[in-house]
Amino acid sequence: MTRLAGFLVRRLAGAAIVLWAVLTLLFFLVRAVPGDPFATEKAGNPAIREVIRQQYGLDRPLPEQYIRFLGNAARLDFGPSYRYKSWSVGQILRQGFPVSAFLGFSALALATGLGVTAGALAAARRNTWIDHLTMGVVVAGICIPGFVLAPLLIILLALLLPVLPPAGWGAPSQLILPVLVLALPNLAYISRLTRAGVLEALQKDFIVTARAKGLAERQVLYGHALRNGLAPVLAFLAPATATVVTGSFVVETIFHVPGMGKYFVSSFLHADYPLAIGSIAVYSLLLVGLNVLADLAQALLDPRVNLE
Amino acid sequence: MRRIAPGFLLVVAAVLATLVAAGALDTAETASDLRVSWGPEPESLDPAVVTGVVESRYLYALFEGLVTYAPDHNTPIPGVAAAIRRSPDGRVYTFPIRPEARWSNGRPVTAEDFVWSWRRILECRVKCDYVTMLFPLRGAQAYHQQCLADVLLRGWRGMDETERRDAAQTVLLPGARAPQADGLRALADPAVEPSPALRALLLAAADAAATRPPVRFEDVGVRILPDGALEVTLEGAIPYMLDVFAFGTLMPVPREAVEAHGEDWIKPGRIVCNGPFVLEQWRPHYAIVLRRNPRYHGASGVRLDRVLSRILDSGATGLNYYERGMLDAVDRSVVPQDFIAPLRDRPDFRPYTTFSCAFLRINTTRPPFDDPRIRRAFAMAIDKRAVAAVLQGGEQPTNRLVPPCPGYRDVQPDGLAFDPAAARRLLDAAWPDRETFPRVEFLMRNTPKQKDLYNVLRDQIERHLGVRIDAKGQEWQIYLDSMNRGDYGLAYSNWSADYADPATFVDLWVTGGGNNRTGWSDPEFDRWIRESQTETDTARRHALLARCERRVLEEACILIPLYLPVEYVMLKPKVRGFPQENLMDRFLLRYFRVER
Amino acid sequence: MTEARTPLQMAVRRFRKNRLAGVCLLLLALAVAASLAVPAVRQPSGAGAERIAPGAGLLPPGPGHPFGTDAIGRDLLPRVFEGLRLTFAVGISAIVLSLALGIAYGAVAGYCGGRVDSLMMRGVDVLYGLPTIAIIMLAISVFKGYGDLLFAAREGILRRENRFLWEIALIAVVLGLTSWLTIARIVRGQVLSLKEAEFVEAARAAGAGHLRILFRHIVPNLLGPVIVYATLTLPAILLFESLLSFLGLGVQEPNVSLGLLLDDGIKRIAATSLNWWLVAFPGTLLAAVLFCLNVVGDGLRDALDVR
Repeated sequence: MTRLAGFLVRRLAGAAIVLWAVLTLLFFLVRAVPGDPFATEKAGNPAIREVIRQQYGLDRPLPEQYIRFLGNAARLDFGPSYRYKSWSVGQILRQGFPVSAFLGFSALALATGLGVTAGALAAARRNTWIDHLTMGVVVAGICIPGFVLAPLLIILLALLLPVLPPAGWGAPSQLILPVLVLALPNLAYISRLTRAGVLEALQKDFIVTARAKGLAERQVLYGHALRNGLAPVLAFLAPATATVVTGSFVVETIFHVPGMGKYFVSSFLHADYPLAIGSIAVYSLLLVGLNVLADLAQALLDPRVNLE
Repeated sequence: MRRIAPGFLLVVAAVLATLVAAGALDTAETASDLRVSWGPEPESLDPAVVTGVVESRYLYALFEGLVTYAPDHNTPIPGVAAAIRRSPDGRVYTFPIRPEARWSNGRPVTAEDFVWSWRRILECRVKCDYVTMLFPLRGAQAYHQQCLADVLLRGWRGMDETERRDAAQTVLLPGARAPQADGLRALADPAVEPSPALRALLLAAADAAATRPPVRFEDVGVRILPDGALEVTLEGAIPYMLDVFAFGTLMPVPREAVEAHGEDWIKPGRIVCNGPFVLEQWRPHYAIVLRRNPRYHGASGVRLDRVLSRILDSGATGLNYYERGMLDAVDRSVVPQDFIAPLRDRPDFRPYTTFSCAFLRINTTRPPFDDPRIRRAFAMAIDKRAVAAVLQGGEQPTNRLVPPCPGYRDVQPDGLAFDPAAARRLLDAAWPDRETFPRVEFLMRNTPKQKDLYNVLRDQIERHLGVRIDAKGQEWQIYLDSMNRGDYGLAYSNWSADYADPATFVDLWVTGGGNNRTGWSDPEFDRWIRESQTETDTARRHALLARCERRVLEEACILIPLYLPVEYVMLKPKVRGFPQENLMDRFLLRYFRVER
Repeated sequence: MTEARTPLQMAVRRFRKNRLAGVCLLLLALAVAASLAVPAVRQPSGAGAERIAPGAGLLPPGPGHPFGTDAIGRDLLPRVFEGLRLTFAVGISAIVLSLALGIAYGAVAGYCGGRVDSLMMRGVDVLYGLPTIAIIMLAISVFKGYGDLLFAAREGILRRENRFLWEIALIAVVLGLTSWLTIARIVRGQVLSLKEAEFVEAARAAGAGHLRILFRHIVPNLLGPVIVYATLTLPAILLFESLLSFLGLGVQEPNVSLGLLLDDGIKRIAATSLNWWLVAFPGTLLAAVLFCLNVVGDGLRDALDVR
């Protein structure tokens, strides 16, 4: 148990270092080119300029700014948003995070649930129409980008046949298209992974043994093959979250979902660096945290994992 | 496997439920009587801060000034004031306050609220671009300049040389007062100020200041009478003064909320309103929800319980929402002009003329446009008819700044007409070598229509002048910022009248005016404007304004009029309350109702 | 007696048997040719000089404009292919950079082995776990803005016409930076196993130095897997370029990219006039190119017998 605890502590320490490195990179990145990243020049009124300067601590020397930045970042305080004049970055992120989390989590859950089922079925019924259909969807998911699929679905399902709302978020009918479009690429990968994993596992010795022992086909499949086929899927979940994050930029923009992705994207169009930095910090926290959790889960599940 | 699936579903459901509790689906997609969209996110909801048309619509819903408007959206009627009394010479207004006027937290609205709010603006305690709205009040401008001088002196250390020169010329020299003279002299010390030109300027300002006795707030023409009424004294009679009293900048703000929360006072849960509605929810860049204010003195007449305002960028989403029944009313900023053609004949399409003009501002502080000949060349190189044709909205091309206005129309100057040969001659004379012509940035909003406009203008200027212009498309707030700090060459602009008088277009261009944004300054022009503000004879006033308009259009040419925009809304038949004519482009939710 | 075939010949033969991959390869070649030819034919004077026809805005596909027109009357057909050309150009540049970086990093890691390898691969793992794409978007935003300031001169390298090149170079560089990780991993794995191969032993016995062994003996044997993964990474790069343009971080008006066309098209999908061609043609072309690249990549992987 203490080995596990030590493992966890080491992973957490590593995560903290990575986060510190990211924050440092962000701090210096926006100051990398000449010019004023925080738009103090943009206020026409000199009185307001003074206020902004003090708010960002820009009248202090650089090392002091850096320390203040780190300290504030630890409390998820990234200052006022430059673009949304009436809001602070923290307020925007606090409102946007649950929305994006809901969207992303639903998409992942759908992708995993459907993907594993479809992949297993395709492996079990190899070379039948189920297999071909699944593979067709896989190809579509990998090759059709979200920003191509989304407008086509909007045209078909929201405008030509007014079945679903064209955009927006909150009511149940508004959840369908965004979650679907966001889930599709991961659905494709997970199906493919599961299918390959199950196929491979089905050929392993212990499956032959299980069959020889007379176990029902179903039990063979679900009991043994799938469990082994799931291992690569688990490993995929952390990078899958990264894919979902990137996908959310497009989906939230097209479907007008008020999540972090939409705010993040709009921050570039308007050079709202505080909001961009805050968003990236939260994303990093999320992904690094997930990696630690994934490592921990693997360590717990698979005794072969080296805890050093 | 049997165990995995239900476990999986359980975990998923638990996580989603937690997120919903944290507000994931809390986006107001619930029962609202009226769902509208007016386009972009408001910069703020503080009456003293906002300048845009969109923001003012929220202001009229949340707050009310001394004066407001009748259901025709045009006739001024008493608002918080119980009555409007005007002295015969038009220089003194007296407003008894309604005893039943209340803030949404129950406290009565008093004259003191107005005095405090106006003082907050004049003393620069809030970023107010429309402070000029208060200048008709006697002594207000002088007091404001004195306060502004204080602010500038305090922030002097952080300013660079250009800012200091600008501050010295536009504020310190004309507006500093005796108590500030010593401070000015201290700044003119060679050990503190390296630039000799600035030192001279500061000393001149100090000398001028020494001759002016300080102004106190009590000298400003506003006071509270013993019976609680508000008495306002003006510098001179102004025909459209009631519109000024109804204007957003002069609306009261709740002192307790502002002092307790600072800039955050406008957020749901903190805001206190005295208008027909209260702010219930505000999700940035997504939606604003207004709820009926039961303490409003006219609450019995307000027929909407809850109003949802979707915040949308340009593009077709707004129209799609409307067609799918998710919006009941949309205005022009949400319905792109590309799509007007099939909509025009529909009964729910309601066009109306407004008192507004679309034009290009020219940044006179940077080459090449610091040369008036080049500005005039550009003005004459643009074929306004081709521009209007691309926009396809029925816009009327124009060479004049002020839209047609009865009486004024007869004396108005013609502006500079399209004349490519003359334009090329002017440019050849002013800057013959096109290769070295500085880069011209065209600042615009980030909408497809503006991109089309850019392409047409670029085409025109390239063909007729041989110069290329680059596009800089930005979102509303950033676009305003860029204009404010002069970070552009040409800027698309659209001015909607603040009140129904040609002066609202012409007095924009005074030195240091918050809405000037071109860097142009002309003392003679300023003088004419001041004269027009105290001139009581309409014909002479119009003549003065026409002279001013000619200066900005033809002589100095600091702007290029393009067309008169067509406004339109789309309203579902069940939405009632929108007036037949809406010259001032208002949207007073107080009078709207939805018929079942 | 059957002639002995070189591994390359065997690979080509396996590839040719895969009819789908062959067809896709042909289609890709056609697409490349079209992206070069079509804009040149229909718009000889280059971007920005298209005829602006105000009355001909937003027309569906018809005579004279098989892909329809955009809002100001520009024919969509040459614009779509010009966008494809830009996407290809950026993608190829990015993949070259990716390969260079990935091969160098992975080869060094694999060859050195031990702690160096462990450390280097740890670095890769960490980078995988970060929202690299988001950080890169920020970097693009920062440097793009700087480009506006930098390219303000009237002549020389820094004249404003070259700002376009700065944008392209910036995007190609950052795209290359996002994709080198996978290639590094693949290369490292291959080098680790090749390190112990006989011909390497022989070279070492002959006295060759480490660098020479690495780059003259090992790397050429990597070509197979590297080509496969390059072909499979290219779609991701093209996709990311389109994504950047779609979100406004790529090229700007009046230059054109598939992502930019899609961005514009989406904004004009209205209930009253669907304007479907604005999205359908660029979108289908993009999806088709990605599909073909994936199939060809899979085919290559099967042909070269790489796992």
